[in-house]
Amino acid sequence: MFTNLLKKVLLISACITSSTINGADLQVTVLSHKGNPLANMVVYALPLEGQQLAKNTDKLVIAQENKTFAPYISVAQSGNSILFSNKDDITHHIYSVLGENKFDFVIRSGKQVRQKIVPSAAEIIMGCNIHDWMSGYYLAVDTPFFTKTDSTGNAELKIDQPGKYSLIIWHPQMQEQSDKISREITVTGSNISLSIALDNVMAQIPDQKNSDGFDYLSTY
Amino acid sequence: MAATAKRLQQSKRTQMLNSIRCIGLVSCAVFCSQLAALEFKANGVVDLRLSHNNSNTSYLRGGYGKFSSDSSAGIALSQVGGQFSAAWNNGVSANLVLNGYSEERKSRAGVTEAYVKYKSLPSASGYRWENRTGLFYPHISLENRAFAWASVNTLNSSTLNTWLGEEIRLLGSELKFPRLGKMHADPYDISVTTSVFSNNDPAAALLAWHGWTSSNRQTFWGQARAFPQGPAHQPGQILQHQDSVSKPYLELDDRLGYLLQFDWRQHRKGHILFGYYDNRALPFIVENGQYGWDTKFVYAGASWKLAPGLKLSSQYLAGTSLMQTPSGEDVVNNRYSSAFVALSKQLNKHQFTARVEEFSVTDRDHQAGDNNDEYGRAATFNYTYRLVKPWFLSAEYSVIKSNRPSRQYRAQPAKLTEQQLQFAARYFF
Repeated sequence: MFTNLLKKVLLISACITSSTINGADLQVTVLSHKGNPLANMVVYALPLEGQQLAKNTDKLVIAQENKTFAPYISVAQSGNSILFSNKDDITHHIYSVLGENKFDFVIRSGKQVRQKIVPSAAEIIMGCNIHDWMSGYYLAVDTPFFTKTDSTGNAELKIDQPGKYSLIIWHPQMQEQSDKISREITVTGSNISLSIALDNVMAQIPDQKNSDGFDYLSTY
Repeated sequence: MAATAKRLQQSKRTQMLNSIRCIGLVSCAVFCSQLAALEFKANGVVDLRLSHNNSNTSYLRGGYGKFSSDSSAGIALSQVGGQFSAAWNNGVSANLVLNGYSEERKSRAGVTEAYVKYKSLPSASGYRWENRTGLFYPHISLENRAFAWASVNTLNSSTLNTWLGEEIRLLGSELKFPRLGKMHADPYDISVTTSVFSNNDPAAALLAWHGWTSSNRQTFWGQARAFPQGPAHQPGQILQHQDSVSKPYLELDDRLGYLLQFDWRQHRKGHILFGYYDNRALPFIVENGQYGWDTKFVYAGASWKLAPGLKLSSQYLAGTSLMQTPSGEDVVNNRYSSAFVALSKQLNKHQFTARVEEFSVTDRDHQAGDNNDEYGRAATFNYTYRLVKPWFLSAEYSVIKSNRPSRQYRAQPAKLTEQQLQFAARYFF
C-alpha cells in the first residue's frame, strides 16, 4: 500500500514538472497502471538540444527460435541493418508489409539473412507467412541511448552528454492516449531514478507459439 | 538458283538451330536457378498396430463390420503416410501425399492428395489469398490434422471423419481469403474458403450401403471399394446394374460441385468452422455400373481450449443423397447425420481422450431389399504416451452400438455391439 502510494507520488512528480537530473546514469522503472513492474518496455532518450552523440553501431540480431521472433521486441539506432538468424530446424518466410520498410524473404534452417532498413523507418512489424502466430517488432530510434526494462521493470541509460532529452517509453501493446509516453528531462551530471506508470492496461501480448502443442501438424 | 535456295535453306536451318540452342540454354539456366531456389520436404507417419476385435466382416472387405478389421487379433502396419513438398521462395509449392498399409491379407498404397498451392503475402490490412489446385481434402476434419491426414488424438477417426476419408475428396481448385487479426489488433483470424471440384459424383454410395464406420483408413485416388450386396443388388432387381464395388472419385455428368466454408480462429483459444458441400451430381446418370449421387451436406466444427492442456472438440455433419434410375425413379434417397464430442487432457507426456458419437442414416425411398436405415452410438477412449519426441504409444478402446436392419439380409442381428481394442506405436517424421 505504502509502496504503491510512493510510486504514485513519484509518478505525479514526474508528470507535473520536467525533472532536473543531476547525473549521467538514468534509472527508469516502468510500472503498469496497477503499479506492477513491466518487463521488455523500450526506454530511450532523444536529444532535444542538438547534442553531438556517438553513433551506436551494435549489430542487431533477430533470431527465429522455437517458431518465435527472439527477442519479441528489438531496438536499435536508425540506419542499422538487421541480421535475421534462423535457429529452427524448419524454414520461415519473414515479412514486413506495413510502412516504408516492406520486405519479405524465405530463410532456411540454420541460415542468416541481412536486411537493410530504410533510415527514416521507425516501427517495423514482422510476421512469418508460414507460421501466422509469429510476430515481432523492431523499433529504430534516433539516439544511441536506448534499452529495454528487465524483469523487475528497471532500465538504465548511461547518458554522457548533458542537456535536455525526451525520455520515451514504448511497447507495441501499450494502450495509452498516444503510442508512446514521453517526459522531458535535463541531464546535468549525477544519477537519478525515475518511475513511470502507464495509465491504461496493456493489451495481451500475442501468444508466440502454435496453440496446438502437437509438432506434426500438416501446414497444408 | 537451286544451289542458292539450298544455301538459304541451310542458313535458315542453322539460324533456327542456334535459336533453339539459345532458348534451350536460357530455359536450362532459368530451370537451374529455380531448382536452386527450391526446397524439398518429406514428412510422414508410420503406424504399427496390434488389435483385437469383436466385430463382423469389416466394411473394408465388403461386410457390415464398422471397424477396419473383424473378429481377429493381429498386428498390422496400419498406416505408412508420406507427404512430399517442393516449395519455391515465391509462395508456390507442389505437394504429394501418399498413403499405404500392410496387413495380414494385403498391402496397398496410393495417392491421397496431389496439388499445387500458392499463398500470397498478407496485405498491409492483413488480407491474404491462398489457392490449392489439384486433388485435396477440404479442411473439414478437426481430427485428421497430422501428417498424411493422420488423426492427432485417437487411432480411429470418428465416424464423421472416417467417411470424409472414404468418399469425399476434391479434384479442383480452392480459394481461401484469410484476414489476419494481428494486423488489426484483433485476437482472431477469420477466413472464407470456396472450392469448385469434379470427380466426386458417387459420393455417399458407400455410406448408404455399409453405413457409418470408424477407422484410420483413407481411400486412394481411383480406388474401388466393395460394399454389402443386399437383395436389391441381385439380378432382376432395381440395383442389378450397380457394380459390386463403388468408385467414389468419378466424374459422370461433367457438372462441377462446390464447397463453401467459413473459419474463425481465436488466438490461444480455439477454432470454429461452418461449411456446405454440394457435388451437384445428376442422380440419374449411370456409367459402367457407377451412379451419380446428388450429395449435399452442411457441417460445423469447434475445438476449444478450456484450460491449459484441456481441449474440447466437436463436429457435426448432416446431409442428403439421392440416386435414381435413368428414368428418374428414386432408388436411394437418404438423409444422414453424424456428430461427436471429444475431450482431451494432456499431462506432460500423457494424454487422455474420450469421444462420444451419435450417427444415423434415414432411408426415405420405398425400394424393397435395400433398407439403408441406421442409428448408432459410439464411444472411444484413448491413452497416448509420448515416449520420445517423435514416438507415440497408444492404447485405445472403441465400442459401437448400432441398429441396422439391413444386417438381417446376411442373417445377422439388426442390433449389434462391436468392440475393438488397439495398441499402437506411431512414429512421425
